[in-house]
Amino acid sequence: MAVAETVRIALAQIGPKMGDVKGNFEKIRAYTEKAMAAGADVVVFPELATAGYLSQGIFFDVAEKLNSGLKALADVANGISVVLGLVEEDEMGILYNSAMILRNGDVVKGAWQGRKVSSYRKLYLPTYGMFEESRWFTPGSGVPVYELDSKGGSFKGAIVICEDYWQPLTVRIAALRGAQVIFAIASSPKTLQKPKMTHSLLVARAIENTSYVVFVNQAGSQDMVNFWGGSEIIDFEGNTVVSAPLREEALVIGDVDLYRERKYREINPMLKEERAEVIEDYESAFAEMRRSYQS
Amino acid sequence: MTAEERPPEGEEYPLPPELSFDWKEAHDDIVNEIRWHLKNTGADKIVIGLSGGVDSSLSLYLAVKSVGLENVVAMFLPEAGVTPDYDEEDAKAVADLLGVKLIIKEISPLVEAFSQAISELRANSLALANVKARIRMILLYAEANLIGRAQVLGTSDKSELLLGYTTKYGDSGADFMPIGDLYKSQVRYMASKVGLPRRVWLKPPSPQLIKGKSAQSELGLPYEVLDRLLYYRVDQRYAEEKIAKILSLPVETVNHYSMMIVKSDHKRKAPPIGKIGGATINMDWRMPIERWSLRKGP
Repeated sequence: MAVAETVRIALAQIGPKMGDVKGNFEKIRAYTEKAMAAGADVVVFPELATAGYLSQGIFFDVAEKLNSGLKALADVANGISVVLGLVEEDEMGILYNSAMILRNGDVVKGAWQGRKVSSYRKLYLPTYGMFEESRWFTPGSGVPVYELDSKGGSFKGAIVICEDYWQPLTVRIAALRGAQVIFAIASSPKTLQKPKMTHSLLVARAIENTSYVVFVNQAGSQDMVNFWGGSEIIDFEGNTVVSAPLREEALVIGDVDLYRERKYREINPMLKEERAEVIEDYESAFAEMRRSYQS
Repeated sequence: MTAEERPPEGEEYPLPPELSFDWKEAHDDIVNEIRWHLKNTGADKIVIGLSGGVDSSLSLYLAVKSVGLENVVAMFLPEAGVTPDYDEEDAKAVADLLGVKLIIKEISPLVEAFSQAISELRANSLALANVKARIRMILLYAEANLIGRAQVLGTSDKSELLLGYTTKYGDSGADFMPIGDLYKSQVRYMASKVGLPRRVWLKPPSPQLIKGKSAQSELGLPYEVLDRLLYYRVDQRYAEEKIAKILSLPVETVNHYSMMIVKSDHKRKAPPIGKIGGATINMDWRMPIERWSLRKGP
């Protein structure tokens, strides 16, 4: 298949209701259909879009109900890739804060360390302050890269989830695996400082990895906590291509120019610059820090 | 708002620099939270006790902004001989300003009935003060039940909540507390910015449970100092010694307020449940409030 030069991406900034799987799927389906009508190649939903974020004990209930809803949604997604944050339950009854990509009646498989995987499982589960993700979820162990179709050809994308992009390595791994577009999905609770800090972080992730970053956050509010929206596409120079409003639900469409990104990477070889010695030294520093914690 | 009520252009409550914040952003955050909270809990109306003080005035303003005049019921619940006339004037002025119909109900007959039933209350001003706050809570919840699909909006601010300067199941008895993450100074500042009457955000705070007692006379320090102390202790987790240096206060004073936070932990939490089994409520069985588990998946 040809290599895509331009990909149209829809940011589906929805505010799911906690535990309302039926209603949330209806909303996801409606936004997907709107994105299709707008000619989008990809529609991106936030982290835990099917469940809500502060859902605590209901994560168990929503996980087991997921399969039929996913299949129905995949059937709707003709010629569009749906990037969806959800609660995944494996055969052993373990829950993950995951994302899947659905297209043409199926789950798109990602490539990871020579294997095919059907989901991306969040790597960093925040468990401090108001966050208690480790109570409910088990972390994943790597960043798969997805080969995705679009009207103009195929391209490579990867997903990171919220806390993942507060750590620099996840996006770097995705970029090293060839991802041209990073889908950074989130359920980011609003504080007065958070939107500005998040934007700064994502700009850094985009520039340091010479990649488009597609940020999609939940909107609305759950248990008197705002999820601030502010979804945006950031290009590899840190410019905002399109952005969604604060707090409110919205569907925003923007194009990413992957030809321009490829050319930019030739001139700015941040990824080629990465060195094994530096990564080894990172591992060594990390091991030293762990030892100092334990001693 | 009449000309003399309107604060001069640009006049605002002087906020200590540590507590400076983007009031517009915070205002919009709270409005959004209230809107979604009602939508997600299936309620459409708000009942709120309006005292004429700055917390309840700002809360009423935010409630009206969130769900509209027609969905907000404000109740002024004075006690004859204790509630000062200026509070009644201010409550009426705020309600008029916002266009909200104000229900006024004297609590004196109810206080008297309690004092007759429990004669010892007359000699114990603290116990009686708590009874008064709880009478107001009962009236607010009765109204909420009567109009249906309504929630009682609690008007406590972060300073009062942290110091435990509230009556358990009295003024702190509410369904949700939109301004509970703003310190008193920040509430006064936001009230000044949204155009509430100057005398509402400038008047010395008082629960008006005991005649003539202001918050400062009971708490010992003005809120401008207390709020900075609380901010350093809670938001920044500074040690008491460090805070004492920053605020030029004796460390014993800082320790005193730090202990007030500790001693009032129980007021900010649901009552602890004795654990017997493996699914103890709030310990093992942890659930959000705005949940929709009845809507099954596809």
